[in-house]
Amino acid sequence: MASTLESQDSGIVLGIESTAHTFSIGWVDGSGEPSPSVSASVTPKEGGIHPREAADHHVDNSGEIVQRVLSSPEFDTADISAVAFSQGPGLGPCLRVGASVARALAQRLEVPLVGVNHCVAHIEIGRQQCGSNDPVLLYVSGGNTQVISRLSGRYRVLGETLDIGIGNMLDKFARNHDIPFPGGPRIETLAEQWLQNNPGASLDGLELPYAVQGMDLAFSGIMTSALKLVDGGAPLDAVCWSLQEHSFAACVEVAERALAHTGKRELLLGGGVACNERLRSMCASMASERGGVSHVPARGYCIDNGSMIATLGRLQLLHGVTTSLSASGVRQDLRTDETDILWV
Amino acid sequence: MQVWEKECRLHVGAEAVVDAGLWLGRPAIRKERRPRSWRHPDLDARLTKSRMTSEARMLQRLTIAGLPVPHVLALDMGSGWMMQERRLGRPLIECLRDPAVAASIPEMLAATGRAIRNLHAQGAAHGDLTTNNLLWDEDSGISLIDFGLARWNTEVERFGLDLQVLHECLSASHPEYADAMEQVLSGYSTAEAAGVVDHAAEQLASAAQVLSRFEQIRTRVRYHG
Repeated sequence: MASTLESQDSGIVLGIESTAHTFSIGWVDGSGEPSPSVSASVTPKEGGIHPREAADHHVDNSGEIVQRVLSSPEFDTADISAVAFSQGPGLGPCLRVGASVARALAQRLEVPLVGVNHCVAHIEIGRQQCGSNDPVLLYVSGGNTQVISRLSGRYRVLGETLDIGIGNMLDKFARNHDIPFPGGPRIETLAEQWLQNNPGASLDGLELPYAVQGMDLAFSGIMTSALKLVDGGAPLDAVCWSLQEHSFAACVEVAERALAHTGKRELLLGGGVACNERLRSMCASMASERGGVSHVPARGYCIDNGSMIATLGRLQLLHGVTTSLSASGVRQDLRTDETDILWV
Repeated sequence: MQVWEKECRLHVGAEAVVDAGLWLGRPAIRKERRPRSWRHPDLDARLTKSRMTSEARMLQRLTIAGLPVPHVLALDMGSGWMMQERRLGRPLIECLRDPAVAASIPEMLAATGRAIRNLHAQGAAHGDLTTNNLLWDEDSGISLIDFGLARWNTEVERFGLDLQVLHECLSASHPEYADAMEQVLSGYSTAEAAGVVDHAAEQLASAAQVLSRFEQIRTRVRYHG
């Protein structure tokens, strides 16, 4: 953040996140330093996220979360200078809850509204937290799996999943074995358990497809094959381990291809799946073997959170990019490369 | 005379380290696949073996068919290196950023499209068609390199994906040429079949079928443009 505009005092900026299963509000202070968000996440009793049920959850929880944030002893509501919200991409009904709360707050506080791009917010909080200037981002979450790099004032998607997001794949596999949403953490525990009981385990008999197409990925075939392995009698914890080894290796290979292609040396991880320790350690070794570095923000800033929306909202506010009420409709299909990056 | 005389390091890729030099006195590149410590050794060995075997076989057959690809001079499976003929030209990623060759860009892109179609007409999909893996030389034209992810395949989906990978690469790395992909596609659809086609012709997707699949894939990725 070398430019003088970004070092100006912006006042407090609130950020509202509601793209999927999490409703969250966070804020940044005048210098851009984020505080931990106040969040509530829906946990489906069975199956995946139902957009309308998640939206109902957000409606039910938003009032209390707004109340808790506004009564924070750390700032005075009079110091709030803008309200930022996730305008997209995400689940329509969920996005609309966050947008409505943001409009109401901005009107009430008589401050500008700032609609931001959720994917770009993951990059900006990561850059802010890790002091990373020009990274390649490996963005791995439930709905998104993308490799992103900045070029000519936009974040460009160099590669992405051609079917489902990696987190979605892990959740679906988990759901088939009665592991509740989100499935990733439990799969990670089972994989560690298998490795502890079988040090130096071999992948013999646990082979899965490895779908790397240039810098693009695919995960539905890996999931189907993993389900078949379990049906064929392979232990669940062994398959969880193999599933992680194969799908993460594919992500890391694609990230390495992007580093090689762009000539950049910093990797930044983001998204909920970036909480996984195995993925983090694979990324760290890959980057260091290339003479680069791998940055991972703290867990609270990897998962969906309001603070990242506030971080990006503040940057846009300082550059005069605010959102009028009439332009504040949500964009389920908002793309990473639609947002102008004016602050670097 | 040394068997292999290294001149310089060309590229540290995601898969392999590529050096340029002389092999028995002729211009060659040496591609060495490095083990990846972050990948499980079983998976690493499986990928290295299958990618090296398939690349060598693929290059040999495409060379015989007369396609602009490097031919294989030598290989050592055990240590994971392969020696290939050094093709003339510079990567497209450099050419597209070099004002000195700006006048050649339309022909470069059309020739790229034709070369890809000729590859597909052999029943082969490249699997990693980035602008690093296409070389351009003013005299000899386009060369296709790096067949580590290539496959024999007559499925229209694989051909469409080749175009999608290039499309993503062109729009991400060379956004200043907004219509670059259109020029590639027009070359693709006007390619005259070159070389020997040893696949049953009726199995092979026509250029028009591939282009229509490419359009489908383009709208299938998450947030398409």
